[in-house]
Amino acid sequence: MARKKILLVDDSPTILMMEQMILSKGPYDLIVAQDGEEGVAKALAERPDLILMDVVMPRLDGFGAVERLRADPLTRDVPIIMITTRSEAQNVEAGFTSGCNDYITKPLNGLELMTKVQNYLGE
Amino acid sequence: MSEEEPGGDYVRRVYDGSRRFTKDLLAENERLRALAAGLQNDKQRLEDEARSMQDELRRLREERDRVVRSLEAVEAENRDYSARYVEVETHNCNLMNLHVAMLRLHGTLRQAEVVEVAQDIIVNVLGSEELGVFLLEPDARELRLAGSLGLDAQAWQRVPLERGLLGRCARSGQAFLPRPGEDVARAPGEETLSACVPLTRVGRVVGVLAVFRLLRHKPALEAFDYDLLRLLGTQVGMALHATGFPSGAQDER
Repeated sequence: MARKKILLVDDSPTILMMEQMILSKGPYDLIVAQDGEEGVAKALAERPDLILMDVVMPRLDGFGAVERLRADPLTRDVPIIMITTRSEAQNVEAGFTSGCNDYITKPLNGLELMTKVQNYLGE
Repeated sequence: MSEEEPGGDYVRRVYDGSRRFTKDLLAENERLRALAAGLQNDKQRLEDEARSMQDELRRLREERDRVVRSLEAVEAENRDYSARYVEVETHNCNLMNLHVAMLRLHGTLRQAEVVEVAQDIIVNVLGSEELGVFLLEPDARELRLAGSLGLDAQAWQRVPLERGLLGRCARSGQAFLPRPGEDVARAPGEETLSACVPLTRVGRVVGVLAVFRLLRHKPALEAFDYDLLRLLGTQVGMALHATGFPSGAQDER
């Protein structure tokens, strides 16, 4: 079975390191980006099967990055999970409005992250 | 009685009729007896079958009860394994968080970056966006804010050691890790303080890490959070030491 590709977009090296450790238990190829701009560029270039997107980032935030990915036919259908520190309804709604499929709150729970990733990758 | 029929014939006919009737009656009786015997046999057979089926039913019920009990035991075992799996995964995740925190903290020799990493760990591992990293001034009389998030940096720029829980933490070297509902005297501004730990190097206090309001979806600090904070207290202190901080002030205390 082909290895699935996951793009991790976060400006926090701590979160990127944690996500990489959690997901390295699965058969995934992981790509990282440290802000929204880089995330959009890597998504278009690498065509990942799933994107984990932080919200607050320099240059382009998560909402803006998701909107751009949804506007492009190449990445329109790629599932995107937002990783957010803010669980307020307004913030969550903004994520769904921008086009994300799901969200996970920080601090990260390894089991929750792995379960959602597996669900979206159809495993 | 007819005149043409002699009496003997009549009697003979009646006799023959009675005889046939009796014979038929006996035959019918015999048939009915045989039928009754057959029915009796059938009844006996059916009763035997009914008993046998009742025995089989009882056996099947017992088997069903045994299977149900086994199934319940297996389900209970599954639930137990699931709970243990979640517990193990949580432990794994906690260990991974500690590992990442240590890798990040000791991955730099720049003081400002150590402070940034400490903040990053508090936000992303502990779950708070209101925090301050305070370093002890060389004269050891007050704490200076070296990095913060979500705080009024101006108001918290300097904290005298005589002031509040932060000052007490720096003076005593004792962490403030309150139990739920624990009531303690707080200085103005410390109303939302969730925890603070001393940053230490070889047992000497070099600063304080203070965590104020937690993220909305995090109701309270848990045992792992307290472990993480205690670990950060020593590891941030050591990481700061590796950067050349402090300038010897604590050695003069």
